[in-house]
Amino acid sequence: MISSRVEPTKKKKKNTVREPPSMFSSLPDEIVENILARVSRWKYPSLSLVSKRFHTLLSSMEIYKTRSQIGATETCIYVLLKLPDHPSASCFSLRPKPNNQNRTKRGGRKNRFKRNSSGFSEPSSSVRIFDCRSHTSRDAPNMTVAREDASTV
Amino acid sequence: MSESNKKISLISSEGEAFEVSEAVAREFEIVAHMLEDGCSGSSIPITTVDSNILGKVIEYCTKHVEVGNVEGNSEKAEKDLEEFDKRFIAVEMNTLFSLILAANYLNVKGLLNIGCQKVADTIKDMKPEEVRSIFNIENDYTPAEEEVVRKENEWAFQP
Repeated sequence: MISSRVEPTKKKKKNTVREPPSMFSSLPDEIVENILARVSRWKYPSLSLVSKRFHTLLSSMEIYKTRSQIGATETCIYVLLKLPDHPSASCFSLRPKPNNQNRTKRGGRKNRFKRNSSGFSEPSSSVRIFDCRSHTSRDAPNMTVAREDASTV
Repeated sequence: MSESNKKISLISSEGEAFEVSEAVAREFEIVAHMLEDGCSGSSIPITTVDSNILGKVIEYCTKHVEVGNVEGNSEKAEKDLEEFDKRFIAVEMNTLFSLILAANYLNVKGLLNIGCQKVADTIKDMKPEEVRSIFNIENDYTPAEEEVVRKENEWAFQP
């Protein structure tokens, strides 16, 4: 039985707006994650504001696993900046500006390198590793010698 | 496979039977596994999916099996299938969610993919308030908490 009853509904998108109980909240996390993984990563800061659930899902490592599973990859540039008013260096991910302009633009400031809480001018032997796939940083074994402003790519 | 003419009944949550070919039933991975595990009964209950949604999922799978069986002319067939998919998921949100849930349960990957993609495309350019509004999501942040999340990404909100 093949029916072809589908009529185009492109015009009346508004009719979903005030519909009483949406089933969205009944979707399990894995499905919401599957949906969010298909949205550009640059929308995550804004989507994180929708609700705590969105924020949790968008901040987890799982979403980046799902993104690579479904092949949702985006180019970005990482910049480690030491801002004068911040005690530790901050890592920024920048995205190419859409539509031709070749400059990079805003990004989420997600990961901060907490190398030394008392200020980055003091030598430290602690090391943090930043993982671009999951956008997380973690502690690595300490260096044998404390160094000032050491960083590598 | 000589069994391609074999019919299988899929029973919806309301008890309604949908007779489909084995090839179509196998598009439901959950059913394919049951058949492989030797569950040779000709009727399979799909207790969590109602008739309306089950009918739609069967329609989707039937179309995909049909197109998959056509030899040659694959480019056109693929285009047709894309068009079909597009029309198929042009449904109202709650129906779309039901389809996604059913596809997830029955493990119909193609349908799960296009369903999730459709929702993603719908929300990708929306403001947080708009997303809450179309999905009826309650804003469970206190203003202070919201500010913290905003701060986390403060650069991202600058024009």
